[in-house]
Amino acid sequence: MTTLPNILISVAIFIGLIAFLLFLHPILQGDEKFVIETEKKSSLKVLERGENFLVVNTIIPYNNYGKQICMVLDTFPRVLLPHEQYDKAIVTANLEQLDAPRTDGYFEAFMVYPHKSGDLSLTLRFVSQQSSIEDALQDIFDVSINIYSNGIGRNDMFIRKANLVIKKEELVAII
Amino acid sequence: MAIEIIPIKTRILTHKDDIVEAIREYCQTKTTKDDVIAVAESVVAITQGRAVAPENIHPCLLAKILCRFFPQVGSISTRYGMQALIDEEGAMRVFCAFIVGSLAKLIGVKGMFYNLAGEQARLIDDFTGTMPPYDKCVVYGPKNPVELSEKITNALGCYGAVVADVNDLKKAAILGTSKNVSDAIASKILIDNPFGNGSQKTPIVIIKNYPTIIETI
Repeated sequence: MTTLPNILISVAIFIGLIAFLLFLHPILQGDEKFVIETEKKSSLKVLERGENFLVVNTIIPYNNYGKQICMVLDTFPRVLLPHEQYDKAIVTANLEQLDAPRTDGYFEAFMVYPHKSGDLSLTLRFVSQQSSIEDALQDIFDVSINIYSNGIGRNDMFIRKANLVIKKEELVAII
Repeated sequence: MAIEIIPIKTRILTHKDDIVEAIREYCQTKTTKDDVIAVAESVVAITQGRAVAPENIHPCLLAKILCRFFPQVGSISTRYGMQALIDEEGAMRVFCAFIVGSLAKLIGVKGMFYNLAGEQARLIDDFTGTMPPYDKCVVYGPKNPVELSEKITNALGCYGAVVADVNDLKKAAILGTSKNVSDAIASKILIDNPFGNGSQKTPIVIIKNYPTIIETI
């Protein structure tokens, strides 16, 4: 029988169903899952060396394990080696896409499709302050580097942090 | 007769540039009274200050819900791109376009949303869609392209001007022209994307001897 309460209940059920579907849709659709896989970095490679400096490089893979495209707007490294801890050399880092290197320090935004991967290239420059680079690196600690990424998928813009550690033994071994 | 189109290389034009002055700077000496100036819509939008960083866009609930229903290759599939559309065209218009577009799609009619949601639905460029340094921004479509075309024509004393959205997929949408230039003919002339890609930095092209071309097309 069509009565006002029945109509109201039907409308409420209909609205509830729509709300549930709207709630369910993004869950089923998923989002990006962009990960910089620092634990899979390649061995260090010497790019350049001089009396008081050393430039090394490592390749770090990234992957989008999610179901949606990730637009990576920026990535950048932060070397965690303050002079309070180690002052014999200054360490600077530069991160860029392996397939799209630039000479200006700019990081061009790019898309990573679901279940696709790629590589970032991390370049570290060690410049000794007093002695030769060989001597300076004998006293170095493990170099911890935070790699920040800023990107957007279907949800809010994210800023994520991945940590990479370059072991002292690895550095000493290549000089 | 072969159509002569001259791409003009420029510096990166920013929101600090006046697009008419920039065109005058780069094109004045190369343009005659029979030429038409065509300019890429994204550069016009950027010079109008219509590139917005995501931190300055605040997606509402409607944007968060609706963006999920658009394929990710489109520019309104992120909540920021969708919010940009809502900011420009209004929440009610976008919502109604979505409802009607969805119903139309159920009966096999595609593209209704884009016809109803306003021209910005087709013009907004999402992140990575524009050349650096605007690759990290949402770039809205340009404002007042017809008026701008008239301004360019008057400033350079040329035959006419066009603001166009052209890509490498053989699509040339004409957003605005000065009064003596035909949309259809301009679209045909620009179909092969003489602007090139962003890194070629040729956002302006000069179509030489336009009156002669229209006689042959």
